[in-house]
Amino acid sequence: MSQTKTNSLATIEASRRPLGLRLGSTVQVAVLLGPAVILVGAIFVYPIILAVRMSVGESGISAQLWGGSVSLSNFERLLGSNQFWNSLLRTLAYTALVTGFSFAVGLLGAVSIQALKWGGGAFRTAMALPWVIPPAIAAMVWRWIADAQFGVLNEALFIAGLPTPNWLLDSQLALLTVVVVAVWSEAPFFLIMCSAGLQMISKSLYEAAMLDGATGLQQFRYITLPGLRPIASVAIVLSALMSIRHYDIPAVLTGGGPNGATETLALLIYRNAFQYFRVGYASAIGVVSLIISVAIVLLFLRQSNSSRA
Amino acid sequence: MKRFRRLPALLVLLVLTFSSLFPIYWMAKTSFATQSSIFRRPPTLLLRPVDFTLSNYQKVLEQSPVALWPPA
Repeated sequence: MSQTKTNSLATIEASRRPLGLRLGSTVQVAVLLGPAVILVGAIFVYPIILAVRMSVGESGISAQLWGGSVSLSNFERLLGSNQFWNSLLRTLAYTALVTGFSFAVGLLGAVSIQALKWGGGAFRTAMALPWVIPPAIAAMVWRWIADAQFGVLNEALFIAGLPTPNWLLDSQLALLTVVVVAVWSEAPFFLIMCSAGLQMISKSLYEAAMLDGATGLQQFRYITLPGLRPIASVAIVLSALMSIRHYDIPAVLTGGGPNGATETLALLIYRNAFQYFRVGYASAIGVVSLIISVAIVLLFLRQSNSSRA
Repeated sequence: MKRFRRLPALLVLLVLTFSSLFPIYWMAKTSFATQSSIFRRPPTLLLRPVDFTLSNYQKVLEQSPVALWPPA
């Protein structure tokens, strides 16, 4: 590993020298990198700094970078608030469920398509279609389908003689309903990623395994899963980071209700910032969820580094 | 060996495809339905010809600035 690294560095160094790029390279670097740095700074870095600044400031709607008092009162209130801790746990559960089920459904679909002789493309296209429906519209449609009184879902359950719960107004069921809708919307992402990953696995591995008498399940466990690992782990992290910030699906389906049963951090931030105008408090929640997101990425990076070595 | 796996795979795909496409179908079907038929129970799986209407689309085009950017 380290051998190849020094080798490649040496090649880069060697290829650079004859071109004579070293003279005035500082100016060159500044000119070439400048626009990108300014853009990233303005779009990503500045809002983050501003959010951190607001989270330790007064909870007004004025956003100022310099001056003003600095206090940790927002964080104090945050950490002492049951609403925040419940919302945090709910968000983590929501993220884990959505990512886990989406991955399972996507993998199941991709493996099933692989087992077909023909017609896989049609199935893949059909199952990828929810991916192009904007989440807010998907939530709208599902809200109508899952409607307790007029919804087609409960009508079908009624005809089948099954219980017909009030999917979105039952405080124990509402979060699961939101998860199902989010999975409907996220699973195509995993389907596409897993399909790509499966096609990268060499067929000869399966042939060798069959010659050795491996069962289908063993082939799945020892060839398919390890072969999918690089793509699947990236997809899982991306999807987890996306669903931890989901606003549109819970907002449209339940608006955080009933009685706060589906209030994720994103909804809590929105409500505090734009309904109660407690911008400082909302920023503090945002900073906490940023820390959690960064922690997820760091955990993933360490994990993937250790698995490669 | 492979033949045994093909049937369950097909069943799984049919279930997944149905659940992927049904909400989209339902959205399209509802968009062509009259207001009164939407709230009629039980809902019908297919849109009945008497309930067909384009007035929802007419409303969208007339009342919301969908074709304008920036919205007026």
